[in-house]
Amino acid sequence: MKLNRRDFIKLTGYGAGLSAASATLLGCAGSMVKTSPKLSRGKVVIIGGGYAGASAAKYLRMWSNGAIEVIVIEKNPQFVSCPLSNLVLGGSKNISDLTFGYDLLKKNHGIQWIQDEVTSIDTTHKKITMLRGEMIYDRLIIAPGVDFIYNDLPMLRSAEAQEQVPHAWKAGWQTVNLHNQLEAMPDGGVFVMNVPKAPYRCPPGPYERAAQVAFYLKNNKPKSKVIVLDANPEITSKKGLFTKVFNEMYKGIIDYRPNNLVVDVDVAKRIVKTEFDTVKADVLNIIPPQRAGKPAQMVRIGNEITGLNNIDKRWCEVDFLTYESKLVSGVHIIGDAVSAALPKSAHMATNQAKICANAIVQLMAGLAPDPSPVFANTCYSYVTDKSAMHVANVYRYDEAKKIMVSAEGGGVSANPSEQEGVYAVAWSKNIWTDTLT
Amino acid sequence: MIIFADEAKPQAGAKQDQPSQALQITQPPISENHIRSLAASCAACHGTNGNSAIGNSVIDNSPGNTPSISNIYKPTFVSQMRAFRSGERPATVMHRHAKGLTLQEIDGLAEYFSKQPRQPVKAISPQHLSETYPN
Repeated sequence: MKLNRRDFIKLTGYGAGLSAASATLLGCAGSMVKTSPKLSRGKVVIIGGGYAGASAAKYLRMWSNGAIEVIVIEKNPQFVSCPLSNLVLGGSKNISDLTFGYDLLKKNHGIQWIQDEVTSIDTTHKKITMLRGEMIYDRLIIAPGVDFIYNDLPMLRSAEAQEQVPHAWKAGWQTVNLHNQLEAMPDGGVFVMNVPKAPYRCPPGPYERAAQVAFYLKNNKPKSKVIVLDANPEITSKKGLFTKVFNEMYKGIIDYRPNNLVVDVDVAKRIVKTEFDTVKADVLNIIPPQRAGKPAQMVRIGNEITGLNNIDKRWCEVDFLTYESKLVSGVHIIGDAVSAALPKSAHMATNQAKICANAIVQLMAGLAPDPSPVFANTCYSYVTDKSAMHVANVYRYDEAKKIMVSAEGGGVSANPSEQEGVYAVAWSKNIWTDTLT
Repeated sequence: MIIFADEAKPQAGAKQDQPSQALQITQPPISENHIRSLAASCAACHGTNGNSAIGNSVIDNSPGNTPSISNIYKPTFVSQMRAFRSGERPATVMHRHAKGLTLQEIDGLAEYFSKQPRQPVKAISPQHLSETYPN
């Protein structure tokens, strides 16, 4: 199905001048698109403007020299970084240090932007329906992040419950709420948090959170405690380093309990039940298990809504050369939603976005994608306000296994250090600037 | 695994333009397309196309400096990466990346970054979290 620009605008259902989104849409026909629409190699729609979606949008425009039209559909008005958001709990960062606009990204690269929520995706007709319009794509990238699974913890599903017991696992007002609860907690109080069964977004994140909360308590409320209920049999990332941090730096504050799956929560009383134990909290933070974000689940193939989350009904299986779904052609999935033996990190999301963008530029020019992609992951965790430690790896496509495998030389810091804390700041400034400008 | 004679003695600061001629004979040429996306992976610390929002000089080894590597002198890039790889140049994290790459990829990255224009980069400024941002 081929559409001209007029059809496209009609299809979106956004009348001229109706909203800021439509103004952006129409405005893009003007100065920012570097090549004439007649030279367009096609239109790529991206659902999601997080680390993965925003990076894919920028690099598609850059590497196609403007020959590919890019439209991003993002429901949120701003970008809030999950990396560094645990420092808001530690007290050394404010949420507004981690919040950014999309204006520079849109303006610098001529990206069309629609703030709306996707309600259905029809892959037969290559049509996306949103709350306020429709959209046709030549290729679709879904960068949906994660969705929380409340089947086993239904009492936490409502907004009211999350006001009392926040997850704060998507940075935003819940992060602020959890910080405020921690500040209001009396000295001698108990902060209880959990770690869901792996895989989940940001493997070292929960342990970094425990360290940040302990850092705050040690300095402000030294009689208080942090209890970590880990559903996993052991610390899932940077194990040796976190074990040392918990046992030495935060000895007597952090009480780490492996094999403790949360099975029930009394929201009003902030009481948690695990398979073996009952724990009463003054401040309670439950991070539910996760799966590919909602847009990936609503994908219709033929007449059925099958979703693309075919692995354990949670994660999406892709071809690692293109990030195209294994279930349907022309639809790519990137970021935390992908099923891979790769950490669900921000750097990894941007890497997948760039491999995907590179492959789409090749495919839309009638060329073969890179048969052997390689990328690097660097992930820092802060254990105080200044001190951080890394895990870093190069990953390389294995032609026999058809997956990304870690290359030689990867590993973790010997110890947390202030020097690495400064490097982590440099990482954050560069990844934000790379993704959003 | 192929062992390269020159791997054992990284030539920090060596002024030779073709540090790995032997490689090009033993392996097929590496595609620009492959290098482009690999180079983009470095952006998390070194900025888009090697223009870092933090530091501007590759010579500046001060802590916290993730320098710009755009418009870099090719032999400098190769010698530094080989020095990270062998451990001759101490590092917090760069040795992990240098060891994970092939010598051919290091040459390809040197070629790529040497061609990127050096541009000043302003780090993106944060803003207040909107009251309308969903919970």
